[in-house]
Amino acid sequence: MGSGKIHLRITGPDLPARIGTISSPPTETLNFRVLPTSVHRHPLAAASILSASETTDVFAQGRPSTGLSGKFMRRWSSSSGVVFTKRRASTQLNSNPVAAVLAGDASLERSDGSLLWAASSRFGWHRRQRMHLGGGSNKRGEHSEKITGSAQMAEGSSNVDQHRYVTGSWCLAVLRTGAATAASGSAYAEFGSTKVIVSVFGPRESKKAMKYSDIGRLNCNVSFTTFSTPTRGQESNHKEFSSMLHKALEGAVILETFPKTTVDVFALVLESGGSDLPVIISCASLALADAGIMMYDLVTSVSVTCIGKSLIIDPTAEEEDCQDASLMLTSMPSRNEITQLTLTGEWSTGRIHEATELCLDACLKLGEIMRACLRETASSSN
Amino acid sequence: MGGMAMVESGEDDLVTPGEFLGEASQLVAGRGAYLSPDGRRIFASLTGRRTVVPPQPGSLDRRATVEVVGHKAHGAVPRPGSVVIGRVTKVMARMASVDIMCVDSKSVREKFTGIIRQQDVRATEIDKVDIYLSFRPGDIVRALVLSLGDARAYYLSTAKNELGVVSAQSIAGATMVPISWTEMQCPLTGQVEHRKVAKVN
Repeated sequence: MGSGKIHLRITGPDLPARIGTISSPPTETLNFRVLPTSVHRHPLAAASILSASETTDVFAQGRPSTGLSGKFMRRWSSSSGVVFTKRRASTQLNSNPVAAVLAGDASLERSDGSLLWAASSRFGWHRRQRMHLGGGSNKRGEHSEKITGSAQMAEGSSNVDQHRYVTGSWCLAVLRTGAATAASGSAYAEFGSTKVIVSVFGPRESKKAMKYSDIGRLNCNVSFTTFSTPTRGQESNHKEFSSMLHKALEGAVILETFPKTTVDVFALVLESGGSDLPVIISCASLALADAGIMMYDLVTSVSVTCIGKSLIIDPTAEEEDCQDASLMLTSMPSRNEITQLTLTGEWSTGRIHEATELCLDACLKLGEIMRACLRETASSSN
Repeated sequence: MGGMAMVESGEDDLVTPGEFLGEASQLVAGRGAYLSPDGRRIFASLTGRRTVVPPQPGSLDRRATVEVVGHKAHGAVPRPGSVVIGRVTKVMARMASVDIMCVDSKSVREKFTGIIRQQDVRATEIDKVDIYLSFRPGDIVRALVLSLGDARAYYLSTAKNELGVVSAQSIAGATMVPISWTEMQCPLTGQVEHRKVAKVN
C-alpha cells in the first residue's frame, strides 16, 4: 500500500460488491480508552497504543440513527496504510458471515469463497499485535487461511455493542514475564479486561507431610482479589479452577527432571473480565517457561461460547452471562495435542467439532505470541 | 524452522519450549532438549539459544549434540553424585541433619534437608563412629549426595578424605584451624575439639 488512494473490495454470496475508497485523510478521530499503567508495563503496549491512536474511523453510510436498524460498515486505516473493515451484524441474525479483511496481509476465506472472520473482535487484536512482533511472526507469503468453522458476531443492544467496540476491538493482549522478582518465574497477562499475574516458586523441598515421590510434584493455586469482580467478595470456584489449572499443566511439564521436589504455581486474578481460566492457563505456562522448568511445549488455552447460532471465541463477561453453552480447550500447539477439554451446556456433535477446530486454530496463533514474548525476554536478558 | 544450516548468531536461534530442533538421525538430544515419543525428532524443553556441539573425536556416534543454553536456570536441585555444601542443624546419636546450601558451586534458592548417617561418616571403623565427635550444630560440611533418600531428607556421605567439616567455630566464637583428620584447634584459646575434618586443597 503506497500513498494515495486505498481500494478495498469485499465480495461474498450474500454480500453486495462494494468498493471503498479513501482519497484524503479522514477528519474524524476516535479516542480509545487505555489504562495508563499498561504503557509502562510493556514496550509493545506503548507501540500498540501509539498505533491505535493514529487510527481514524469513517462511517461509510453515515451514522445510524437509533439502534442498529440497518447494516453498515466501518472503515478505518492506520498510518501504515493497512485498512481494516468490519461489518457489524444487524439486529436480526441471519446467515451472513461476518466479513473482515486485513488488506495486504491476510484474508480469511471459507471453502465456498466467502470471506470469514473466525474470531471475536478481541481475538482480532491478536492478529494486529502479531504484525508488531516483527517479520518472523508474520508469514509474508501467506495471504489466505482456510478455516472450516464459522463465527459470527453476537447480537446485542447498543450499549453492549458500544462496549465491545471500545474494549474489544482495541483491547491490549499484554503478555509479560518477570513481573515478580521474588519468584523463580512469573508472568503477567491482560486479555481485554481480564488481568492475571502468575508466580512460580521452586523446585523446592516438599513438605514433610508429602509422601515420597520419584517424580516432581506440581501444586497450583488460583485465587481472586476481592476487587476483581463487580460484586465484592470471594468466588466459590477457587478449588475447581486450581484443579483444572493443575490438570492442564501437568501434561506439559517434564516432572522427571526434578525428582522429590515441588514446583508451586500461584495465580492471582486482578480483574475478572471473562475467559478467566484460559488466561490463567496461558499465563501460567509462560511463568513456568520463565522459571526454567523443562516442558514439552507451551500450553495455550482458548474458550468458545455459543449464543444461539453464533460461536464467539474469547468471550467477555457479558457474553458469558447470556451464553447457551461453552467450550474450553487447552492444547500444546507445536505438538498438536490437547491437554484439557471442558464442555458446559448443550452441544451437538457437529457443533463441538466446529468449536474445537476454532479453538485449535486460535491456540496456534496464541502460541506464536507467547513464543515471541519469551524470545524477547531471553534476548534482552542475554 | 528452515533447513539444517549452521547456527547463526542473533535472535533467530532463540528457541522456546516445544520448538523443533532437528532430526534425531543427525543430532543427539542434550540438555534442554528431548526426543519425541516416536524417536525421530528433537524438541526444545527450555527457553534459550540453540547450540550444536560437535561429536567427540573418535567416538562411535558421529552425530552432534544439540543443546539449549543460556536459559534462566531455576535454583539448583541436589542430585545423586553431586557434592553439596551444607550447615549442620541437628546432631543425634546415629545421624546428623544438614541444611543444603550449595550444590556443585551453585547456591540453592530454597533449602533442602539432608542427613549424614552413622555408617556414612567415614570409610574405616564404621562401627566406632561417634556422631558427637564428628559434627556439631553450625558446622559447615562438604558432603556427597548418596541418593534421594526418603521423603524427609537426602542421604549424604562424608566417607572420603576431601569430605567433612570445612569450617567450624569454637566455643569462644573463633573459626578453628584443622590440625589433623579428627581434630580442630581454636586459635584464641588453644582448645582442641574433635571433628571429621575435610582435606583442604
